[in-house]
Amino acid sequence: MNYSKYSITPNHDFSIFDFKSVSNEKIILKKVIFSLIPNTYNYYNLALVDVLEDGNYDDLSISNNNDLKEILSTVYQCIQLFLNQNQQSIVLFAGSSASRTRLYRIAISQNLTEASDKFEIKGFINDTFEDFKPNRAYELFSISLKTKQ
Amino acid sequence: MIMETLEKKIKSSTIRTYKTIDEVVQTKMNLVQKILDKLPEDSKKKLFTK
Repeated sequence: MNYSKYSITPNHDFSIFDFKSVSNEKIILKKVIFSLIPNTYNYYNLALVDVLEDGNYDDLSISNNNDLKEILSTVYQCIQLFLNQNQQSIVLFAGSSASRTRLYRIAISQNLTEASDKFEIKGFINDTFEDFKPNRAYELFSISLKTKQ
Repeated sequence: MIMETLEKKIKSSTIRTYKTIDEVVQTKMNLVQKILDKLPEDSKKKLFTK
C-alpha cells in the first residue's frame, strides 16, 4: 500500500501496535491488537480500535479525520511487522460491520498484486477459505507469509 | 469512489464502546469464531489441531 503511513509503536512482543490518526481538528489514538484464537496454535485475530478520551475503546467509532487510506496502510504495516516476528502465524480479520468488511475487501483488491508477492491472502465465503479474488463477498480474510518454495 | 461511499456509510454507524482491551478482543474473537464455526468438521480439525 503506497500511501503515507503513521508512525507505529509496537509493544514488547509485537502483539499490540499504537499509532495516532492526525488531522487539523483532532488526534485519535488507535490500537491494532493481535490475539491468539483459542484452541489454535497459530491463528491470530486482528482488532483495530480507537482509544477514547475517557480511556474506553471503540471499534465502530467515526473518526472523521479523512485519513482512511493512511489508516489502512498503517494497519497493513502492522500486519507485516507482526508476521515478520511470527512467521508461522496466520492473521484473521473481519470488519466490525458489513460496510467495514467490504471496505477491507476493496482495499485488498486494490493492492492485491503487490501484497500477493509476499503474502498468501484468502477470503472466507460459502463456509470455506479460498484464494482471495476481487469482487467476492467475503465474511473474513486471512493473511500469512508466503511459504518459500 | 466506492471507498469514499463506504467511508460515509461507516461514518453514519453508531459507537460501540468497551472498558478493557480484553472486552474488545473477546467481542472480535466471538465474531471470528462464529464465522469459523461454519467450516466443515474436517477443515475445522485441521485449523484447530496442532
